[in-house]
Amino acid sequence: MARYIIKRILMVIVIMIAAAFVIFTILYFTPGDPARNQLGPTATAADVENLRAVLGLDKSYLAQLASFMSDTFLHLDLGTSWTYNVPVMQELLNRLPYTVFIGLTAMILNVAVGLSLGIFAATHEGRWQDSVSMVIAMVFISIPDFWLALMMIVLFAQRLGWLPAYGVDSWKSFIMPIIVMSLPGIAVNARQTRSSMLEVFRADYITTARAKGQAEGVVVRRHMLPNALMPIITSLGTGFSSIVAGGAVIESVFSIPGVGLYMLTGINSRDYPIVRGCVVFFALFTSIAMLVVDLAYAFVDPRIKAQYSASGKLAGKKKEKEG
Amino acid sequence: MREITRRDFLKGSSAGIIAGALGLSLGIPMTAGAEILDSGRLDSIVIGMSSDPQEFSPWNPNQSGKNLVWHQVYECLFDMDGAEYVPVLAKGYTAVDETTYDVEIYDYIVDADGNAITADDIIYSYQVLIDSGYGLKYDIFEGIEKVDDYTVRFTFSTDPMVAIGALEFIWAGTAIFSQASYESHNFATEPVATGPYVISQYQSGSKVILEANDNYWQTDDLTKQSHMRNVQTIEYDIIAEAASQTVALTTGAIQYSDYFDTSSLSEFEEGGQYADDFTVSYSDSNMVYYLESNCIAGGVMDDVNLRLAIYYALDNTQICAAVSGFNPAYDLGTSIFADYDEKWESEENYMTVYDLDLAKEYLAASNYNGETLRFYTSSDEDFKNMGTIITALLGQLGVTVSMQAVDNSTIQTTQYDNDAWDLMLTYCASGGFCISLSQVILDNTINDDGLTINNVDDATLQELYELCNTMEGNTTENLDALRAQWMDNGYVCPIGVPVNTTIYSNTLVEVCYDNNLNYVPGGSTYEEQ
Repeated sequence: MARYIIKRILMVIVIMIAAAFVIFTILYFTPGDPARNQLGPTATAADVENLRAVLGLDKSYLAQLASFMSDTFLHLDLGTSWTYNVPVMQELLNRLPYTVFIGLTAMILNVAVGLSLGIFAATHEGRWQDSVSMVIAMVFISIPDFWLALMMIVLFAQRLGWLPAYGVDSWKSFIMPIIVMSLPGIAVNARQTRSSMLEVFRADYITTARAKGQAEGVVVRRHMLPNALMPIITSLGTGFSSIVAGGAVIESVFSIPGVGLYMLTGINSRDYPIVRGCVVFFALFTSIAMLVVDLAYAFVDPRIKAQYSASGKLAGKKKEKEG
Repeated sequence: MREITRRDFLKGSSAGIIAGALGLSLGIPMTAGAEILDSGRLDSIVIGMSSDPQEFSPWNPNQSGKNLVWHQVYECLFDMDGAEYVPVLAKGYTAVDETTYDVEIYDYIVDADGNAITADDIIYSYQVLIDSGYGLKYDIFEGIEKVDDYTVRFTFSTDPMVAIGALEFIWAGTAIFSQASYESHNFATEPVATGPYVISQYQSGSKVILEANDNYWQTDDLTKQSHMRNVQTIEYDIIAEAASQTVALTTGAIQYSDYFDTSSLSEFEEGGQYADDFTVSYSDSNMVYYLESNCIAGGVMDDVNLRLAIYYALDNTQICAAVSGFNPAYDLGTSIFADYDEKWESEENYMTVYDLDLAKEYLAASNYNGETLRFYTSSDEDFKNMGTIITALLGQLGVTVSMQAVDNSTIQTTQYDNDAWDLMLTYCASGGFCISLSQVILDNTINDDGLTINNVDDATLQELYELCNTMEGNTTENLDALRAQWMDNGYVCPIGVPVNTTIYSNTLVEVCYDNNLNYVPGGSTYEEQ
């Protein structure tokens, strides 16, 4: 198991280097001059050239790439934003709590509600409860988050005055963003859970459990759910990784100073340090999230745990033989 | 009561006061709680801000959110009022010769930390700006040296008093601060300067809070209107969505907004649900949307008949009506500028006349052979909508265009690639004079190649532009000649002028704007609600 984790961690480093290289190259060849963008249309050619020199944009591709890679991976420095004029890492760390709080809470909500809704639908398959649950899920997944956010603002902030329309001044400010962010996840999890549950619903071991006289709740909780969880965990993994990067629209509508909005600003203003820094950071976050998910498989499914252990033993034996 | 427009303001010579409309009756105050303190200041005001200032360094880049705050925290030697240099930190200037000017500053200037500002600090401030790479339009600046503790001497390569606003960036756009403060604070996040306000809190992406500077150095009787401290606390809430700013207005969370959902405007206008509590103000902005042709020699648009055919096929009035929030343009300038001439609005030319038959005649006389023209514009909603209408109108003419709506950074880069485009719908903005706004389009010295931004090679045009860009040459006669030159040759077609619409609480009695039309809360006046 430890060997597997070390191997995966080494893979994370390779992924980060590859991501850094790819994003650097894409940005380098993307149309749009950051210096011209910052100075505006009234700047003369000389003004622009001067700023390009200050920002280091006048150097060759290889020189800029070498500088970026060495700063990022040898000095752990993501650079300083050209527009914010503060280190990218510092700004990311300032903004991360808002993004992670909203993302994680939304995720907990969509797991809790989505699983319950999915189980409820599966255990009432073909009945009106199933139909209602799936209609709710369809509605949740169909509503554009941008539109829903604006409608909620109009209702809860403008008409009822219960919640603030924007900002991060109090805990109330987070209610609407969390709800808007969680609804598509609830729908996906509900549908996924229902589908997975139905797959195991008529399996022999479920029939056996029922034949042994176990209560239906126990059958669902102990036998059906663990087996149905695998695809759900997979979707949670991707959901977890998108927590950091995926909330730009919600952050924009509710004026949440999060990481998604930060990266969007960086892209629009051609602030390369922000975009490159965010991509490297996201790559790290996603890789770790996926590693956690893969490890979670082992705890849910004994067969996978056995595989990890077997591959470790096999490798050990191979080494012994070679020795 | 008459509403003084921004146009009145910019054409007037006095400080920047615009009396807000007072005609609306006072209803239930949305800003309940707004009170006047013993100091005579309003206790606080909250303003909607559509873009994050991002940082507060002393240089002043192309960033709208930062501009709002910058002018309240920093001060320069002079402010611009039209073409005038209005002393702020400086007492005035004296000419040593045509290219050398002495500037004396007040001997009691201190920053918010109490550090005195001397000639050494002024030289240091200029050096910091030049080293930063943000020294815009410093081409005539040759040097600065100390004469005595409170006087500095500027040397220029040409007489800076000839061209209009030649020192706009050098004298009125360069922030002055003390070396001691700069070395002990990170100005990107906590600037310490001489302005009437200090930043007390900045939460990136969320809000900026300014407090009146208790150490403000200037005496009350000498303080300019736009440097006053009529509000104790100014809070800018960063709200990127127009719809959210509208809701924030209606709930009383903000008291001033110039970025809101225009479909809700009627609710704030006379007869609307919120009309009793708010004033809506309109004026032309300092910005022009225009269609330019790439006149590069040998290119498809290097054909005056084709250019005129295209412009006469465009109905500016229809385009502006379809894209709400615009007035038709009548010049490379807007009605708020000092050298704008209202007679241009009744002249007959391709900006005011839509004539498809004439357009077809020009097209028949052109060398156009059915090529698909590469038409670029911004992906912003207004540009896209205008671009779509232009594409349809040119389709009626029989000219095929392929419209590409790209982000603003790409537009700026594409514009400098001579072979990448044929037509471009873009914008420019300026302060004070039509001729200043025209510079971006008509001046061939901005680029290294001796051509204008749309690759026009016309010595007469340049001569006329340079003449109009001088204090003496900026006459109606010369401006008419310049207009005739670019219109006869069809170099550019101004389309529309965005209308600046602002909604503000009736707490505001007189609204003060600076030379760039930024709202100055500290210079405005208020009444208790």
